[in-house]
Amino acid sequence: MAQEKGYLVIADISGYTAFLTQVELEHAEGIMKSLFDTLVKEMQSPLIISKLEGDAIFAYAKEGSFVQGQTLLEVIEKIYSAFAMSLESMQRNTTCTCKACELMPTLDLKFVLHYGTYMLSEIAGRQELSGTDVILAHRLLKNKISETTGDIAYAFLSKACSDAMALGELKEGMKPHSENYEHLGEVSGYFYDLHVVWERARESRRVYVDPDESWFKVEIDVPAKPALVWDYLADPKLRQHWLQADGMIAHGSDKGRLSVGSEYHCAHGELTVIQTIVDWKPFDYMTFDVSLAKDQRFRLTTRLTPNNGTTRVSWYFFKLGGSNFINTFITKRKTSKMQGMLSNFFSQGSNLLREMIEKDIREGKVS
Amino acid sequence: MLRKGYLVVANFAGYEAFLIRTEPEHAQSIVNDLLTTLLDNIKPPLVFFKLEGDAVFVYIPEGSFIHGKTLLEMVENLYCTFARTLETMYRNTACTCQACRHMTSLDLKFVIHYGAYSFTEIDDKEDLIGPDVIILRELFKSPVADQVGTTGYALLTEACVEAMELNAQTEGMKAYSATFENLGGIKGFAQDLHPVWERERKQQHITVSPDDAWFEVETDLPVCTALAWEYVTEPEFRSQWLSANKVTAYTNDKGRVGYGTTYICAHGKYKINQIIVDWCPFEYLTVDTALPLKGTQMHTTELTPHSGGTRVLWRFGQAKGQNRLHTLMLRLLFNPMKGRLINQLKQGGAKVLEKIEQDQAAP
Repeated sequence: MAQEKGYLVIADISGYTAFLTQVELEHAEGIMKSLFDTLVKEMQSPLIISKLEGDAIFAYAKEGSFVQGQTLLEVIEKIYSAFAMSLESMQRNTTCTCKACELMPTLDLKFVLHYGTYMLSEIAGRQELSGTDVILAHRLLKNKISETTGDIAYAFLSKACSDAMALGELKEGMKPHSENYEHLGEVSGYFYDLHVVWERARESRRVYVDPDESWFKVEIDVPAKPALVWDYLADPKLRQHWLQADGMIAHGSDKGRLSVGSEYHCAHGELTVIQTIVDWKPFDYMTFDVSLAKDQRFRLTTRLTPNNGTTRVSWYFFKLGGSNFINTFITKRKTSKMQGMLSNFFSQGSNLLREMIEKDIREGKVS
Repeated sequence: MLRKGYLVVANFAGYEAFLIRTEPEHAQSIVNDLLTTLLDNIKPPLVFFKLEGDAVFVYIPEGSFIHGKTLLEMVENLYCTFARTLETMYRNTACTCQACRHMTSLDLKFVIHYGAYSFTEIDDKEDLIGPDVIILRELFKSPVADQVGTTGYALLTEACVEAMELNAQTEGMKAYSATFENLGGIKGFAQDLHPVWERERKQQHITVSPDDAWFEVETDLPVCTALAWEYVTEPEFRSQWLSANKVTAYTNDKGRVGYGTTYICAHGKYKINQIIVDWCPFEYLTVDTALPLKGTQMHTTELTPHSGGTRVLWRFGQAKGQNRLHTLMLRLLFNPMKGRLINQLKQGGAKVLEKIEQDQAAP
């Protein structure tokens, strides 16, 4: 039996019991599986998965498998972000009204981290971790953090863990917490909110053309609220009209729902323009990578800004590069020649969009 | 896909305190030895699916056994194996460390639930999920011992008792009930396993040895030993084996056939009493038969795993009287019946085999 020192990490899905007991197992199963698959995929070196324990995954990192304490926090945060992203994308891509899909947002993830000694032994052909510190790590899962602070997505580090990680100043962003456990006595530590981490990560994944860096822009004020204008921009039939296309098909939508990765195929005579959604933040902005022809590509963000009951719709254009230096040079040169045409086209289009909406409001079709 | 069956978890009572308070090296090797013994003794129809710390998870697909009490017997066997191993380890150690001195503070408890589960593969390993798996998990972590008054128990949930049709046999068990967040109220019955081990420990083993055999008859059955046990001990099947018109079991243990139970075999207008004098589930049972003219005769039925199935061996001893002369007279009287008895058993075995094949062919 080998004794080792290292970090013990448990990722625990909160809301699991309520979720699995209230919903259709057939649907819940798929959701749980894809969340666990995400977790397992992300829990890689320096973490070693010991085993799945119902709603939790127990992992450890041997001492010396990373240098800076911060690295372990980054690992945890990366896992959390992957989990949150997976959950969010499942929510976005479902129009299913079953209880499981409806209750999906009640699921969340928390971590407990402890540092100590564990024993590795082989039972029934499998390596098992055991020892007092393994018991302690599991006990940490039962704590009053959510009860007292309302935080459901957190990482709780025992003092032994934060000391071993030499967190120093990093601790300042965390809150102290202590618990009392039978046979083990008082265990103190620090925790911090992972929702904040996720918000930051999500923000950094955003794709849009910054107005200051745009190639050019087209703008118009439309007398309707952003949520309504959004539909005129997103709905293929309505989009076809103001873009004066002969045909418009949305591809790659999930049960009729558009999101990142979906495409609009826009027919103008013989030319088919492909607009691929690269970011989609309803009522705020949508970003497309548009391909007119080989070597003619640009990025387009359509941003909606509410203004006293009306909405300013801005189209920001940005020239995209190619796969290498020469290709980028050619693509940007060729695309540059399109500016006049594109600018005219979208000015006309923006006017058509406003007229459509005004007409529909006048006729009482929308309000 | 949703399946139905029994979900069992076995784990140690006193595990955490034992590991925390004693020398880790010895404590862990004691625990590992006990776990290994348990795992070695998990045999079909029990299917082991995972170990989590000290918790051994097992499931039994629905239809793996005929009578609920077979499952209870498997659990009791595991408990006795655990208790015997612990006792032997304790007796054989000369070590004076805290771990070795306090190993008997460990006990074994079981939670048995019946319900639906589903297989899912995560990290290349198969796992079971579902609300009933959660119920099992909540129960094995909750303090049941305080309510049922023993640390070595088998807690059967209400759903389990119902599925096992054990209702009449819960009388001797302690009622349990608790309320869990999200799960609501859960009721069950706990069987104290201490008396089971006490009985087992004291019991003398009685068998007809090959040297004392009058004759032997072997039949191979294409089922696991636990199921073969049912085909050997159930009155309905015994009447087939023994070519009786009817076999009835009279028991004083709330309907549970076992040590002390009397089988009454009706052969035409004759009734023959058979008392179970040794009962070692899934391994063997020995029955003492009251013969006419105040004689007795014992037979042992042995079950051994044999090429994927079970070999059932009936070993009949010679008739016994109250003294030598009586014995001699009985043997002279019964010896001519030997051929007929062997034939009856062989034919009986063929009938049971036929019944099993019918059962297996049925969906």
